[in-house]
Amino acid sequence: MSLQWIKFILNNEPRNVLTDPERTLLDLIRKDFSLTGTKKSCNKGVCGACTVLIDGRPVNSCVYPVKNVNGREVITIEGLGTPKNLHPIQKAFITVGAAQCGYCTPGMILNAKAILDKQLNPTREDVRKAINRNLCRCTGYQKIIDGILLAAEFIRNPEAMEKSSHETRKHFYLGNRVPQLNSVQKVTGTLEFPIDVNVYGICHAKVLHSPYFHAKILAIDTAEAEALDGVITVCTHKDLKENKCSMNMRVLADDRVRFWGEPVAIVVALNEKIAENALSKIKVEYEELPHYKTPYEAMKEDAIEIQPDEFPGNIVYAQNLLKGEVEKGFKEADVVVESKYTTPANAHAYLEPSTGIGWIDDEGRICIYCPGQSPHSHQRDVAWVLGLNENQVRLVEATTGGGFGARLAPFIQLLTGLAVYKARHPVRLELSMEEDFVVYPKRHPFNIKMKTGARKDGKIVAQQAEVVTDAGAYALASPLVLVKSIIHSCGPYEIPNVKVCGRSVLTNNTPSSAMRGFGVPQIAFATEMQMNKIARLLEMDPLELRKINCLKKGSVTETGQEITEPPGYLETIETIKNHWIKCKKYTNPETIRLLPPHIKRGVGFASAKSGIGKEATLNYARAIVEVIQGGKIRIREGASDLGQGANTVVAILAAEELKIPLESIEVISADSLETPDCDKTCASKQTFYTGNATLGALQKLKIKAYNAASKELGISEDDLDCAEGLVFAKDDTSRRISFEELVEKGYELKAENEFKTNLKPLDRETGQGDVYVASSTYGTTAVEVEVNTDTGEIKVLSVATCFQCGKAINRLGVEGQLEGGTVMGLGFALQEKYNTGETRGFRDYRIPRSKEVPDIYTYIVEVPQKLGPYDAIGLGEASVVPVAPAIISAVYDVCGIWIDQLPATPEKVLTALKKV
Amino acid sequence: MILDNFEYIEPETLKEVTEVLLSYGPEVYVLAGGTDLVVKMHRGTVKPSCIIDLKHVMPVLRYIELDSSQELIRIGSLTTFNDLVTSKLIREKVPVLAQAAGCVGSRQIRSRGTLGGNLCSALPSADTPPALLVLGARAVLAGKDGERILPLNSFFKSPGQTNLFPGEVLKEVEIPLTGRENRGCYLKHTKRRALDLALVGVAAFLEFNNNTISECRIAFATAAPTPVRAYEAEDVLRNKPLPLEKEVIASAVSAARSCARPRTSRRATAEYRLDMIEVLTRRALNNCLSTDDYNNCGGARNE
Repeated sequence: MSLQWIKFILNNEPRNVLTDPERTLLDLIRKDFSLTGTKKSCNKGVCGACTVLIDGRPVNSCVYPVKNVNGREVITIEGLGTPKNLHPIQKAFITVGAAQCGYCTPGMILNAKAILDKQLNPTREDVRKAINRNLCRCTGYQKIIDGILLAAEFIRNPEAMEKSSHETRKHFYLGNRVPQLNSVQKVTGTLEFPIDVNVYGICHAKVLHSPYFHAKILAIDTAEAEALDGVITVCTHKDLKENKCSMNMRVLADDRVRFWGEPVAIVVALNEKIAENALSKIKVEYEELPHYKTPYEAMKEDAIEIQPDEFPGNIVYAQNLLKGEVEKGFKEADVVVESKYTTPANAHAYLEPSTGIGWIDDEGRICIYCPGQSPHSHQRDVAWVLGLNENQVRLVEATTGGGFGARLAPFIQLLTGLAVYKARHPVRLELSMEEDFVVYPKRHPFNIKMKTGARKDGKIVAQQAEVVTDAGAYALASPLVLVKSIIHSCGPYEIPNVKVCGRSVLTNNTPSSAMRGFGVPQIAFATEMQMNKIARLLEMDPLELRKINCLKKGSVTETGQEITEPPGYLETIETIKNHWIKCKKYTNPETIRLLPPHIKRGVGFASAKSGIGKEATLNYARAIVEVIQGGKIRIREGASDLGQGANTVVAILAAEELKIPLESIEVISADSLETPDCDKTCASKQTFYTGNATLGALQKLKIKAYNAASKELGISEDDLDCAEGLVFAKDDTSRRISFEELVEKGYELKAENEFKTNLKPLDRETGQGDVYVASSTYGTTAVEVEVNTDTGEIKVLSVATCFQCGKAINRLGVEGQLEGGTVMGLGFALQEKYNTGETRGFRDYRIPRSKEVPDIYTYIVEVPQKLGPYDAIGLGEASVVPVAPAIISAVYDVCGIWIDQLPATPEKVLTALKKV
Repeated sequence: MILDNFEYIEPETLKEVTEVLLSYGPEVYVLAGGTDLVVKMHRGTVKPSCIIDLKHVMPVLRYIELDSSQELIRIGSLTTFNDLVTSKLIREKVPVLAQAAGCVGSRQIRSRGTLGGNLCSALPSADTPPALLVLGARAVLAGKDGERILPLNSFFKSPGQTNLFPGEVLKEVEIPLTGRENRGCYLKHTKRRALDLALVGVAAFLEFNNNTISECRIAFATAAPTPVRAYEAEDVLRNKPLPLEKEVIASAVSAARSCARPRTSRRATAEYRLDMIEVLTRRALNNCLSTDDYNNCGGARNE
C-alpha cells in the first residue's frame, strides 16, 4: 500500500490528507473524519445510501476512489445543515415525514439538493426520476417526493418555511400529523446506528459461512487461524454452553450445516484484514449431503431428515382448521373455483446492514448494541447460549434501520455475544449487506391449493385449502406464521364451511421467519384471487361480492370467534368506491383509446384483514413513566423503534393524556437494562399493547399526582385537573402546583403498568377458538395497471388504499405505513424473489425503485375500537396484504390471464398471454 | 477490498504488451477500464496471477478518426464508451454505435469502460458488438509479427473467448463507410429500467439505394454464445423495394427468431428471450424504416 497526499475541500474546509489513494471515499469520510452521516449500506454502488455531492453532483461514495477526489469539492450531510441550523430540505423532510428509519435519508437529501440546485421548479415526475438511484424500503418514496417538492417551495419562498414551523399548535397532537421524535437526528445524519459507532482500539470479528447447502461437518481445525499474529480468538459451537436457543436457532453450525451461508465460526482479531485472513486459515472438513430446495422434495419418504431429533420427517408444524361441514357446503355451491397458488421467498431488504458492538461493562455484564426487534427476548437468548444469568447480559436495540420482521431473530446478537464473551475485549462485528442477506431469515414461500364454492347470489358457502410452507433450515417463527396464515384463510369474509390443512416443512433454504404480514400476505393472495375469480364467474362487481360476504358485528370468523365490535371493513370498501368515481385517471375510455395496440390498461381490487398481536397466545407490554428534572415526563418501554414511529405514538399518547407539549416528553426504549419488557416488536402490536401499557401508567401517574396535589393544595382529588405540567383546581386555575414542585417536595411521581392479554393456543386439529383480543385491521385497495402485451411487462399506474385503524394517533405515521407497505406489496407481486445461494444483495434482489412506484392515495377510516388506547389499533403490516391480488386481478381485467404464481414477471405474463 | 497477491505490469508501448502477453501465457489478464475485471476480482470469481495494466498505452489507443480516404472510421481500442457517445463523428456517421455505447451501464461505467474491453471480454451480453457487426466493422489486431485484420463476425469464438492469437492485442476497430443513405438502430431489453445487462439486444442496419434496401444487417446480443448476425433475416429484406409490406417485415422477424439460440438462465428463459428478439427486431426495423426520431435508446419499453 502506498500513500498519497490528497487535497480536497470537504464541507467548505480545505483538507490535505495522507492516505491510500485506492480507498473508497466512503471509507475515508466515515473512518478518518468520523462523518458517519454518510451511510454505508450495499457498498456496491447500488442503493445510494452513501450519496455525497462532488462538485455539486450526487455520487455513490462507496465506489468512488479517494484519488479521484483530488482537487474537488465534497459535501456530505454534515455540510448541509446542523440540528440547530437545518437546511430547508431537511426542514421539509421533517414536515412531511419523509424519514422513517432514517437510513436512506442523508443520501436522499443530498440527491435532493443536487436536483434543486439545478431546477427550483421540478415536477413530481422530475423528482421521481431523479431519486431513482436511491433506494428506500420504508416510505414507498411518496413522502420523500413530497418532501423534495416542499423543499423547493421553501427555497423559493422562505416565508412559507417560517410559517410552517409555527403551524404545529400546542396540545394538538392526537390525530395530527406529527413528525417522528428523532426526525432532526435522522435528517442531519446524526442518529448513530450501531454501524456508525467508532470505538478506538476495538477488535473486529468476522464470520465464516458455509459454502454448502447441506453437509456434515467432520472436523473444524482452527489452530492455524488462532496462531496468526493479531488474532485474539476463534469461536466455534464448542465455545457455547448451549447452541440451540429459542425458536430452534443455532448460533453456529454444530455437526452439520443446513443452509448455504450458515455461520460456522467467528474470528476476532485486531483488525478486519487479519480477521479476514484468519477466516481463510480455518480448515473445515465437510461431507456434502443431498439438499432440498422445496418442501415437496424434503417431504419425500427417502429424504434425509434435516433435524432428525426435533422434526422427524422434516415436518416443523401442522395446523388444521375445521368449521362447519365443507362437503355439504360445496353441494350448495353453484360455482366452484379451484386453483394452486405459489408465493416466493422475499428478503426484508432494509438498508442498514447488521452490526453488533459488544463490550463488557464495569459490572461484568455482556453489553450488545445492535439493530433488533426484541431486546428482552434476545437478552434471554444470549444469556442462555453463554450459560449466564439474564442480568449478566444487556441488549440495546434502540436504533434500528428497518426490520420488517427479520430482526426478531437474534443472529447478530448471538454472534456478537459469543465473540465478546470469548475475546473478553470490545468487539465490533459488521456484517456486509451480502452476509446480512444470506443469514437473516426470509418471508415463507407458500404453496396453496384452494377450492372455493359460491351460490349464484354471491354467498360463499365453502372453502377448502391445503397449505405447505417452506420453513427453511431452522424453524424460527414458522409454526406461528403457519397458524396466523391459516386463521386468516377466509380473509375478511364470513364463510360457514371451512377446512384447511397446513404444514410447515424444513428445507435447505435460508430459514424463513416473520416478515411484514406474517403469512397473511401469502394466504390472502390465494383468498382474494379466489374472490376475484368468483366475481368474474358470477359477473358481479368484485366489491359487491365482498359486501355480501363481509364480516360484520355479530359475524363468526373461521376460528369460531364472534366479532363483537363493528369492524369498519365496509367503510373501507365505500371509501375506495368513492375514490374510484372521482379519480380513475389512467383508465378512462378516452385515455385508453389513445394508447398503442400493445399497451393495455385495467383495474383491480382486493381486501385485507390482519390481526393485531400474536395469535392465540400471551401478549404483554410494560411501561414506566416518571416525572424527572425540569418537570419533564420520561417514558420507558421496551419496544424497538425501527422507523415505524412507535416511540412517537407513545409520546403523543402522553402529550394527550397529560396535556403537555411533546418537547417535555422523553422516551427511552428497547434497552433490556433500562426499560421494562414489551415482548417482541412484531405483529403490528405496539400501538395497541405498548400504547395501552403506557396509557395505563400515565393514568396511574395522574392519580399519584392528584393525590399529592390534593394534600398540598387542600382540594379534593376529584376537583383537580392537569395541563402544561401543572395540577390545578378545575374551578380556579390559580390554585395550582407543578409536577416538578411535587417531586421536590418528596412525592414519588413514578408509575409502572403492565397490559397483558392471554389466550389459549388453538387446537391443532380444528383450529377453533379465540385468537385475538383486539379487533383486526381491515382494508381495501384498488389499482390501475398497464400491461405491455409485447414484452409482458406490468406497470402499476396508481394505487388507492384505505385502511381502518380505530383512530389514527399520528396521521403522518399511518400514511407512511400505508405507503411503505403498499410498495412492499408491489415488489412481492411483481419482482421480488430470493433464491438461497444466488441472491446476495440489492444487485440481484430488486426492490421497487422510485420510477417503478406510482402515486399512492391513502385513506384512513376511523371506526373506534374501544379496547385500544384512544380507540386505536395498529396497522403496520396490513397494507402489504391486498396489493398483490389487486394487481393480478387488474392484469386479468387487462388481458384475461390469471397469474397464480408470484412474482408476476414479464416472462410469466407473456407465457400466459400466448395460451389465451 | 483485500486481494490476493498478483504480479502487476504496466507496459509503455503496444509492442511491450504483446511481448509480455507472449511470455506469460494464458494466466495473464489485461486491464483496460476495469469495469469487468475489477468487479470479478472483487467477487473473487477471477483470481489473476498477473495483470497487465494498459494505462500507459491508453493515450495512444484512444482516438476516433476519419480515414483520409473518407471511407473508414478508425476507433482506438481504448476509446471509452463516453467518447463514443459524445463524438460528433460517431453520432453523425454511425449513430447506431453511439446508441449502443450509450446503453452500457451507468455514466460512471461509460466513462471508464472501453470499446476494446467490451469486445475482448467476448461476453454474449455486450452492447457494442451487435452495433459493430451490423456496421460491418473489422478488428485490427497487433501481434509480434505485425498487424492483421479480422472481420468482426469471426472475432468471437465462445463466451469469454476470442480468436486472437497468443500475444495479440486489439489495436483498433475500423468501420467502412459506403456513403449511401442508411439508418441503424440498437435496442436493448433489460430486467431493470436502468444499469442492467441486456436480456437481449438487437441491432439493425439498413442501407438504401434507389428506393430499394440495398443492404441489410441484423445482429443480436445475448442470443447465442457469442454476438451473432441473423443472416437469414437479412436475406429476407435485402434488395426489397420500398415501402416494405407488413408481411415482409413479419417474415424477417420470424427469420430473426430462428437465427437465435439463446439459453435459459436465472435472468430469463430462452423462450422469453426469443419472444423479445421478435419484439425488438420488429421495433428496430420499424425504427430504421420510419422517419420518426429513432435516436434514443428506449429498449422495448414505452416510456
